[in-house]
Amino acid sequence: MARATHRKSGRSSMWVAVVVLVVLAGGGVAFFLIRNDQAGNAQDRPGSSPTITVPPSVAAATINFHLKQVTPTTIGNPGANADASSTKAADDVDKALAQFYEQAFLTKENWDQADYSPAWASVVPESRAAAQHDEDLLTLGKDAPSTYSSVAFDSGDVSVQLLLDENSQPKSAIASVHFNANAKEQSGGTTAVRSVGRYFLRPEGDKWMIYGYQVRRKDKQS
Amino acid sequence: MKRKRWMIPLAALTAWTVGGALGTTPPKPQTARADVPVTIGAASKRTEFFPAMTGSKPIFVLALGSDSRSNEPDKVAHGHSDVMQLIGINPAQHRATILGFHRDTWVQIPGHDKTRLNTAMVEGGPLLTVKTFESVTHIPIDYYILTSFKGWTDMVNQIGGLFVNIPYPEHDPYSKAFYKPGYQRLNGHNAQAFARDRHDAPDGVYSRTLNQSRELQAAQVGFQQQFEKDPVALFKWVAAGLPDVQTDLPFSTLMSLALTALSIPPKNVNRVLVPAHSGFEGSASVAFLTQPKADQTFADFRKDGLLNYSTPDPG
Repeated sequence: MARATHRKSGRSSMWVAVVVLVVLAGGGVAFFLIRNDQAGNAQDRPGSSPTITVPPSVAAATINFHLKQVTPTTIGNPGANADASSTKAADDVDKALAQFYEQAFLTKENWDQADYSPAWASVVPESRAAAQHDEDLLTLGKDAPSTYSSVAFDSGDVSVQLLLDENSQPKSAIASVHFNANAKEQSGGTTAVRSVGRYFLRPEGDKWMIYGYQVRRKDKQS
Repeated sequence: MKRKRWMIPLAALTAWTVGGALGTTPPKPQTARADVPVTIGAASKRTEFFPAMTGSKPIFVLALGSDSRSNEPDKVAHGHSDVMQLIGINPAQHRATILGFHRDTWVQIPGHDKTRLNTAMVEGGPLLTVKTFESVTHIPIDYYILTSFKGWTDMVNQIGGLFVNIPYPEHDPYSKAFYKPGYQRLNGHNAQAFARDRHDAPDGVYSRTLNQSRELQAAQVGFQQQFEKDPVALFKWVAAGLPDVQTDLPFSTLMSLALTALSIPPKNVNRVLVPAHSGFEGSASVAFLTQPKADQTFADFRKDGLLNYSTPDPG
């Protein structure tokens, strides 16, 4: 069963830039030094969690991905509320990825220090070490402080595949993402930041978190 | 370990199941490209990561097939377990061994008389079968997974069939298995026929037992290939079984195990038959464990979930 769900496209670049500035002026993200988030099922959690610092909370995302398509796969026959459950789950996945990309690419407080720990708050603990290892591809990268002067969201979309159980409860999601941003370089040039990927997410409490990914960067300098 | 019976469709993920807390190290990236700096303007860079299990503690999953023709779960769970494949997975080594048991293996069923191994499930469901296996092999079984004739047929159909290397000609009117040797795509009906044929298999039930593990192996290959083309295959495979599978696997562990299956190359999966020989117990035709070789096999298997050899096809 497949549906196409359409949302209004994202805000203009200028409006996003204004919102980002307001967030930064308001203090942005709060950091804590040592924290070990214990989210995740105990039976498949590694024996020792990686000691990657993540803040306890991050500002709400300003990115508004265009939700292109939602495709549920149901274990058994779809329940009566499968549609409603799918819609809500897709919205939540959308928000989770917007949050991740916001922290990974747009929040200046993060990329200016090349400290992407707020982005890792969107990743389950057992996958954070891997994500950090892939930092240069999953975020603006370690060279961002010496490369860029500003970054602004341009456009992006998400398509969500969901796995629902026999009670129409979402169990897992695979989200295909296209993310585009424009970065001004300190040298005067510009870079079109392009991230294309699939993210594997699962519900953890009341939010969705990333546990796996396939991501490609297609940045272009002009 | 607390076991609870609940039903989720697991489709062709019978080839791997089971998780549990395994390692002491965080999962490693499957293909780490992030050590290469992103170069603006260069060819696109790519990376991927799936949290496969990485521990050195082996995982043991008992895959069972019931001879019940019923769709009722309770009848399926109390049929004869004519398919019994003990799967050992070693995540750290990215290897797995499938150890097949002859259905008529003569054993002591805990709390019952000595009888054929496939009768344990009739007497006490899959949990008694697990208990019997643990008693006979001294291998701790982490999880079991049980399906039926119909269950297996439905699962195979929903995943698009299995690509199986038929080892020898088959022409068996009882199981309806009529095949020439070589690679063939089997639909659900044909996969069941192939797994049931014993009348013209060279070594009867022994050959059939080996063929059953061959189908599990083919399922792993099929899953990897489909996932490579489209990772959403993960959902298709998980959902394919409908309510035809019974297991004590938690859903999250199932997903971890499925991702672990991606990290095991097909050439790292070997199939072994438990050493056994045919005989009679009174007038009953049974299979006796060949000792001390059987116990040595179990001891070896228990250490790391692996056996370093394969049972060759007969003939």
